[in-house]
Amino acid sequence: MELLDGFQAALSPENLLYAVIGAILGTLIGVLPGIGPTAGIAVLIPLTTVVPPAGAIIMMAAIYYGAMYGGSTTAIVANIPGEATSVITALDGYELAKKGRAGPALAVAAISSFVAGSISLVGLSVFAPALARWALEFGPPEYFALLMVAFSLVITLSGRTLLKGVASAALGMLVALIGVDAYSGGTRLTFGIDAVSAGLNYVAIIIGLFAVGEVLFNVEKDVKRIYEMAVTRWLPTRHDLKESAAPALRSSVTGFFLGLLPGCTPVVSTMIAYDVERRVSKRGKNFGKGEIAGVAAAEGANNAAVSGGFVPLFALGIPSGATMAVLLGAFMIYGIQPGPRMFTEHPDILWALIASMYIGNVVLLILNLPLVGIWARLAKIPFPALAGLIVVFSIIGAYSVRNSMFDVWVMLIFGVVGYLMRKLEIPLAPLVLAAVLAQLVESSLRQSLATSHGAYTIFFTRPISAVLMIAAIVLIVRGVWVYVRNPERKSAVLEDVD
Amino acid sequence: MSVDDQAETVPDDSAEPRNVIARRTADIAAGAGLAVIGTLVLSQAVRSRPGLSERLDPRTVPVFLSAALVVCGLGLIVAALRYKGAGGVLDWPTAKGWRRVGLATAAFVAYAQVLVGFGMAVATAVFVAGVEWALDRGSILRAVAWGLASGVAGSLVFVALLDVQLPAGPVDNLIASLVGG
Amino acid sequence: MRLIRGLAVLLIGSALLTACASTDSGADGGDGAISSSNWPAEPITYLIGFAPGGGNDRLARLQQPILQELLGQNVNIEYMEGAGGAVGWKAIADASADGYMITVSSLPQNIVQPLLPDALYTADDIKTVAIVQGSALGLVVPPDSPYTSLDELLAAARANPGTLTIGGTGSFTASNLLTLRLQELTDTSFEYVSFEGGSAQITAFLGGQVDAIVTDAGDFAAYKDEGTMLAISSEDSYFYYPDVPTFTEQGVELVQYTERGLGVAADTPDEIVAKLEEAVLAAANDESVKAAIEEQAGLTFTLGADDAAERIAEETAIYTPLVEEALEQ
Repeated sequence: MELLDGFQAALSPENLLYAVIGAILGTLIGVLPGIGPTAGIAVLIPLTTVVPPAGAIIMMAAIYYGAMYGGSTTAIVANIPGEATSVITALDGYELAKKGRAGPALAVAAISSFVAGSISLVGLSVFAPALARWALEFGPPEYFALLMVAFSLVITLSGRTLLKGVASAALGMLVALIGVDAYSGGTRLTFGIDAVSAGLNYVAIIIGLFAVGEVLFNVEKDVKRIYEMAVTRWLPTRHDLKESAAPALRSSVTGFFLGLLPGCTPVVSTMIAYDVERRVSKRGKNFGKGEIAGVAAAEGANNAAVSGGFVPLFALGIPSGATMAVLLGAFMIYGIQPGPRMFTEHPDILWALIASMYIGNVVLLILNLPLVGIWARLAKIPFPALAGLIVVFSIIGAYSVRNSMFDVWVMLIFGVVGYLMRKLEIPLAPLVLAAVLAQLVESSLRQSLATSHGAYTIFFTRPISAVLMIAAIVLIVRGVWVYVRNPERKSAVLEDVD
Repeated sequence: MSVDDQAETVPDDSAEPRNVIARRTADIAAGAGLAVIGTLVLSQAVRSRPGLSERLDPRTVPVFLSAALVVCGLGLIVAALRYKGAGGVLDWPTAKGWRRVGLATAAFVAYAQVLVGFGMAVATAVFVAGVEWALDRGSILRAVAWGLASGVAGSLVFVALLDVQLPAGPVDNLIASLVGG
Repeated sequence: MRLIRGLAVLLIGSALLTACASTDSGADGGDGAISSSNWPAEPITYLIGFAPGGGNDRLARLQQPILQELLGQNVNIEYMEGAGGAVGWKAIADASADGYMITVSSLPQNIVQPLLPDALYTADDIKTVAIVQGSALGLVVPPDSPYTSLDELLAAARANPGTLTIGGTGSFTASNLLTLRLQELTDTSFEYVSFEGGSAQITAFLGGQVDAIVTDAGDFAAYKDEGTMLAISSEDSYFYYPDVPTFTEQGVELVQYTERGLGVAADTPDEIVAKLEEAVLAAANDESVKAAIEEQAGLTFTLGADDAAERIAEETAIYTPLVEEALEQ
């Protein structure tokens, strides 16, 4: 059993230590907005000159997982999603925190991540090569159709605020298109301002909209405490766990399969898994209002999607995102070329890494459950003391993305925009999600049209794409129909319920 | 109904009076705002350079999206006019609330501005202490202590440990050298 | 235990060095005067205009330890991605010409990007100190393709103009330019499908989404068993693909390389340029660097500033009319 050998290697005291260090560093990196896993791993690449290959790669993978987990911590506790995927976690997580249930939310996030990690490990070690080939069936038209399914989520989640939700998404995509268009070489939507021709960074936009917007919102109301209720308990009840079990399992599977697709970022996987769960779960109606199952679904999906992303990396050498590309770079420094030949040429490292991912998940769970108490204690800090710190975090986070003050100003402007949007009940999540996906939407559309020589029918003549496209259209039409029939209907995820 | 259309101040159990406006009013304003933004963006979008022999003109997606923005804005106005009554109310800042938001925004900008000159530790200490005191109006001593702690911790974590390439001042170097020593 | 301590020392040590580094650069250069004689007096920022893990990043990481040793200063790699690298190069163009900000300069991008409307920088903004690495481009079809030679592919393209798709990476990039030149030279026309980068292109290729790709010889190295390279754009046969005929050998006068080197702001004092040139050429001559480049199917060059300028001039003469013509359409 190669996997067993892998475990043996990964469990050596030395490699175990690397996994632990990686998990801690990763959590720290994830907690800080702006310093995402990509930058975190890149900063540590020089370490590879002193650490043996297996150890370094194990550590980097642990950083990746740790960062994903850390990102959801700030999303839950302070509504600062460090990563785009955490935006979905924040939908329910922050609502729970406001109700004094940050502890259970954090614990369920950790447990759900662990469950997802374990499930996808099986997927990864058993199916990797076969699944990777399957994923290649997805061409540009399929990705475009998949993105349309993800966008239909904006419509169905918006309910009464449908028009505002769609407007928010349109704004988000437009913001992302500002600057030089890499395809035509021309600038777009710059209004003649040179400084924006390099484009606006979406991390700065996320931090501004959520963190700074939230601070302004509370400042206006002269809030003394963010949390309506005192923290009741840190650990989830048996009831919480029961509620979360099925969503965690289901969204792990969804997340893993979507994560296999090299062009599908974890954001899309998380959005779709969350929506599926909202429809399937009997408590789906309460998603977005502080439902623990919502946290479980989001966290399960994004972790599973990350593991899924290792499949195309190992099997084909194709990175499914920026962080994977950095990992690929690290592999190459050691002269390891991920790809079909990795299974035969470097099986020791490969299986040790797969095993260590599993161990990394265990380490994260052990590390984070006790930490939950500490994080949840943040809820006890009065808002006046917290407000300044949140802004400091936000400014540093925005600055560190590209080491430029320009991003800080963008972040602050979006802070004010976020505040106004909140006051006018325009949901923020569609803007962020659309901004993250805009380039993908446009390039997959462009590529589809090029391969079809300009015929839009390509989306309906290929089977997978046709199924997805029809699903998207049905979901969108149904959402619009429900809205038109009763525009004042309540009960939807992205509405403010106050 | 016409009463609902106007902003009104209702008493609340908190110390400060709550200010609300009719959702209809807010939605009409938001719709108009979105439509205006959409029109502005549309005017920019059509002006971009046409593409090469690409199948997808670089103007197509921006034009589609800004048009969607205009449609959503106008749709919002129409929907708001059709609300039965005012469509409920939404919270709106009082004059005091606006002032607080304005001051806070100014403070954020000022902090970002002086961060470059003063370095992480000093700027953060002053800013965090100031915000704490302004929002809490409690003990000045507590505010200062909190500010100092944040400044040192911030410098330690961001500048010394995570080596964020932030502008560092003399105090940051001192802290970094203490850690290193 | 020794390991933890070692790692901690390492982490803190590197953190400390960069913290000191940022102090000095953060001092905002009030002293103004650039002193080139004692350069480098502070750490150097190696700016990469792409996401970590790409070709430019890999080259920078190979050079980094050697540059640090030879220059006696830390060289910190930073990333500023956007607009196909143009955002990073613009930052170099805007940087003060004191030699403390260097970048990987790339051809043909640094020639072609300034030719485009709305260019973020001009060709005169960046000085190429040296050219050290390069590769040729290959025209590749899937293993099950009906076309087994360049002639067959071209004949099919001629018979049904615009129906065959060629996948490349971006507009006005090396692969796009090669496709444009191929069409012009052979009087054919293909549908060019532009992907975001090498891995998106390879993904589409492996999935059979396009009829052929024009790919960087280095990018394709890991996949050389996954497709048939019909022609390569090098002058003579390419060491990594010895059996693949060149375009020239098949009657198409098409020779094209991509090259990478070291770039700085144009007004950097000669003294500093000379020191950098010496260091980067020494790094290029390092056996382990050479071996690492060749392992990834790359060519090694040791062109200094003058030779690099000559090479740039030659390529500018080829690309300028090509781009202008494409823009007119």
